[in-house]
Amino acid sequence: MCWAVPAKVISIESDLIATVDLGGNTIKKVAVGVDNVRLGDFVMVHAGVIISKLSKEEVIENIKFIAEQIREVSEITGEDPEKTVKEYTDSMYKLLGQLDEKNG
Amino acid sequence: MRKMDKITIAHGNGGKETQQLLQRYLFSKLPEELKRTPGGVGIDYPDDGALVSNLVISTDSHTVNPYFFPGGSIGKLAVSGTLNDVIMMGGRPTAILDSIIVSEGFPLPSLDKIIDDMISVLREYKIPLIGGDFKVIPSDSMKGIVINTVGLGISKRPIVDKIRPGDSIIVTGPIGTHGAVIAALQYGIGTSLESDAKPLMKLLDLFEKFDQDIHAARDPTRGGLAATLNEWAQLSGEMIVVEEKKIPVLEEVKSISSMTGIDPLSLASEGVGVIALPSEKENEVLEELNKLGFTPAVIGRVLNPKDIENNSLVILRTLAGGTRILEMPVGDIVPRIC
Amino acid sequence: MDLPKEIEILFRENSELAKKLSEEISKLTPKVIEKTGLERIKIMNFCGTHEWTTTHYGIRSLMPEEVELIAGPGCPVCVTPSSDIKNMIKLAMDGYVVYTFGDAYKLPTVSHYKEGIGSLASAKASGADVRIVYSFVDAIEDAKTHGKPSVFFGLGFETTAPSYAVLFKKEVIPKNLMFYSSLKLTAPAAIYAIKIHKMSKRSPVSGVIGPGHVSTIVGSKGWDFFPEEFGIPAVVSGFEPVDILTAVLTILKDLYTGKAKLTDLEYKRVVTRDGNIYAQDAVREIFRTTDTIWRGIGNIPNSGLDLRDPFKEFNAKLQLNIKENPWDYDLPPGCKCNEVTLGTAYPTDCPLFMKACTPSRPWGPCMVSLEGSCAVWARFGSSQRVLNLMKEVRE
Ligand code: SF4
Repeated sequence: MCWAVPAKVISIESDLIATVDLGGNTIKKVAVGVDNVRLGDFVMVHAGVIISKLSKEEVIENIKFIAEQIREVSEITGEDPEKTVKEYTDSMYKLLGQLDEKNG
Repeated sequence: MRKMDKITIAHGNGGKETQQLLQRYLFSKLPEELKRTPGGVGIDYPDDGALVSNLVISTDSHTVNPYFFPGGSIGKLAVSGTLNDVIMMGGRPTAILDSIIVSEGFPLPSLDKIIDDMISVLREYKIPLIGGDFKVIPSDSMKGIVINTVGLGISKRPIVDKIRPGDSIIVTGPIGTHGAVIAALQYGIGTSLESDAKPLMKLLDLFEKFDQDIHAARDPTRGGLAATLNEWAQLSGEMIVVEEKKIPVLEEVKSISSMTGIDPLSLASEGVGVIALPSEKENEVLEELNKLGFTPAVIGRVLNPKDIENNSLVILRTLAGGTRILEMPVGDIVPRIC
Repeated sequence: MDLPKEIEILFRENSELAKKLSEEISKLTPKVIEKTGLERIKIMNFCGTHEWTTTHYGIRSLMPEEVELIAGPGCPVCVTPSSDIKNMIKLAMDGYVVYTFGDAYKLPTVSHYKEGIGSLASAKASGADVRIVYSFVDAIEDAKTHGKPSVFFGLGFETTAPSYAVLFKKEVIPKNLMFYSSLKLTAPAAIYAIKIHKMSKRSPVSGVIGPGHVSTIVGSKGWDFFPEEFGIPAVVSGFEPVDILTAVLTILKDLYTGKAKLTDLEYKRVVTRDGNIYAQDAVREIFRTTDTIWRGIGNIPNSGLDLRDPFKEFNAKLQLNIKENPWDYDLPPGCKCNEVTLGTAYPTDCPLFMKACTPSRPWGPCMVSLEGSCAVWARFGSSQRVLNLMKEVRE
């Protein structure tokens, strides 16, 4: 049951209260439910509390995990694993690239 | 109905509850011939307003909490909302009337500001205010302010909403902005977003230019785009298919809606039109809209379903490429944690 | 680099990848069926938000017919018993300011508290002061400003519990704000549901989508029991469409290879193996486990949380002497809501469905609220319906 959204910590009022930006300057005061949160951290916010941190490295791990699944499934279904995985990775990095371009 | 059943806020959400309530307590009690003037359009046909020969008439009561919000106030909303209803019936607004009901104890400076806001819209578009009413209600029976407005307009070719298979559905700009601003204010969310409340006067040029082609036009206020599309589907019995990806939504609105779990498709817009027209004309109309300063997008089309089970449905192709039924909004539109 | 935006583009709006994953799922399914002899593959989620993603993004329309995504007991709207709502209505009618999340505001009671009052929304319509808030923090701030006796309706699972705990811990709750705990724990309910499935004649649950945000708190290790005790593969998953599709694909693959295991990599961007220790400590310090009642299911031992003794001055149940109602009245005679909620019966298996029980005259809890399975089936028919719809719109 847990609606949670990613946000960026933009100020820390105390060890209990911080302010986050949910993107596009959408600002909310929330409670801190994690250890040593730092300015600029990306976090997940649920019902007005920070429940965890979000890490860039793990997003890359996520992408790799999906690649691994696609590879293993291709082996079972008899497709060419190299090819399917390459198609996948290319499209993911293309999306990331587009995003980088947009952000300059 | 149980003896003690009461009106809840949900009855006024502009969605299913409002429809059901009106059907049951109003429409069903009126004989057909008293639902419109001969040859006109009345409450027999849920549109933005009524039609008496070539006179378009629309009325709307406005309440909003808070009265002042970034980008406007209840005053601006009350005038532009009613003008928009007239415009969406293809009527060129000629005059409005107002009726202000305010509670005892209401701060006069706020009333002053609200009326200034009303008048500044009237001045800008040169619309006379030709009549009205003003009432005060004891503070124990009402809080705040309600503004009712009546809009009059003349139309050579009124737009009585009737979508047809093969129509394209166009929105004239990003949706849900007003609703998102209000939700942010109500739930203590900071935002730099402003309400989109404004009269859509420029659309009249488009409607006059394409007067043979506009099959339906609506401004998706209460209940949002989801309510407008569902009403059209129900009125026509056709099926509407929309592509979520193509529906323009501002980044800020996306953030507010993803934080609160409120679907932007059910959030009100106060300065956006939804138009249905034959898809052959799509490009011409888009071009014209761009010229008029809008940022339009084609979001879907109207189909005649093969299976009658699927009549009157709105289908959404989701961002993920899946398919789901887009329902008429139900209940209060409130944030969620689940 | 804007991480939230990146996630949106890669995992939410990535319809190309969603299509690819859905194709892989369709290719793999017949192989799994052939190998395992299963007729249908049921995959259960335990989180209202997973269910939300599944319906909101139309994920069921991307599944082959044999793969069924079912919702387990996992959202407050589906599991909060009528008695809790009635208690809150009573407090509101007695003059307390009642704070609630939007989820519980509309939630109807099975029978009315009093004629005409069957939800907090209708209590408000009758003049009660019911305020919808986005968070406990907002309620605290608001309660401080008016000072009136108030009660917060504390819904939630493991994910929400810390938001209360950290604030109790720092002693920032004003004296006029009491707390009514309706907190529930996912694992005991999940174990309960899986056990029932094992006993039912219908094809059992073959895989589990583990609740990602509960896991941020309890850690992915909280779900080891699925493979270890029940031999069911489980994937701790995120909440974007791509996350769910990946989870389904992974479960199918595990079923094919016959290696039931817990996969905790899918939502690694947020979930760790041990969870959020800081939050766990806070929850342990403030709350103790109790037996609690689940809507449409009944009492499950040790599946709830309530405030510990040092905080009893805030405990609305103790202070206001509120008795928990017996659960039986939640499940009227003949209603199969318990089985429907657990996914062992379809609404159409209930003899009352669309006969004595309809959305306008609901008989059981699953028909009362809009999100209830019976109400969903009454409006849309089975999930098969969506597949039929697909045929219309595919070109
Ligand atoms: S149809 Fe009604 S009576 Fe039957 S299980 Fe569903 S809610 Fe209960």
